[in-house]
Amino acid sequence: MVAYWRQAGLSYIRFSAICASAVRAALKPQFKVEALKVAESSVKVYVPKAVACKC
Amino acid sequence: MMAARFLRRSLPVLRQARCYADAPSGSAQMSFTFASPTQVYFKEASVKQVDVPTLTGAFGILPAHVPTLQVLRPGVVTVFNDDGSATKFFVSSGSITVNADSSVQLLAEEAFPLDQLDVAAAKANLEKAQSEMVSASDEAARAEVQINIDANEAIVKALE
Repeated sequence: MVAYWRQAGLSYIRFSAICASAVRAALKPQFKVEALKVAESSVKVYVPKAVACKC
Repeated sequence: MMAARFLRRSLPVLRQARCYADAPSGSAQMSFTFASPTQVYFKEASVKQVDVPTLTGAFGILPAHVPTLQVLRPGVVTVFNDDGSATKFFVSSGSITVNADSSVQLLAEEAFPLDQLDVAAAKANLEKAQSEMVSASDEAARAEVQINIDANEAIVKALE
């Protein structure tokens, strides 16, 4: 029995992320601020430009 | 001669007799750990029962539950403490592991006590998601909106 989101091509990770943001959006205001702060990504992606190698 | 016959007859008894079912060994305790990335609610605590909502249905876990791995869906987790009181939490998703030694680990992506959720906000989000469904273009977008709808419906149901 395949879940409808699995059939549409979504992974459980994506399902989990959507559920988590739905729950965070339904928090009472005083808790929402905390949760949103924690939820924002703490990983910064740095892609270096391709540099010609001096070797 | 007599000794040999005696030994042959009594050997099964001398060898430990095996019963059909072994009585459960150890105390009827479950070590319950329940946490989200930001908050630990229970850490190896002793509780009587835990009700969890999984993708394949909701079930209650007692000590000596059969080992299982399950994946959670948005819903209410009810923890029945040793003193008889029950505490409810809403979890968005995550996993639950029941081990052979009756330890249970419930790791949630987001978990909050029910009183931290706002039913009016959940209803408003639900209506917004339902209207988004009309404008969803392809199957993946429709599935994403449907997940949002299901999650908000679960929150509303938990709070009513």
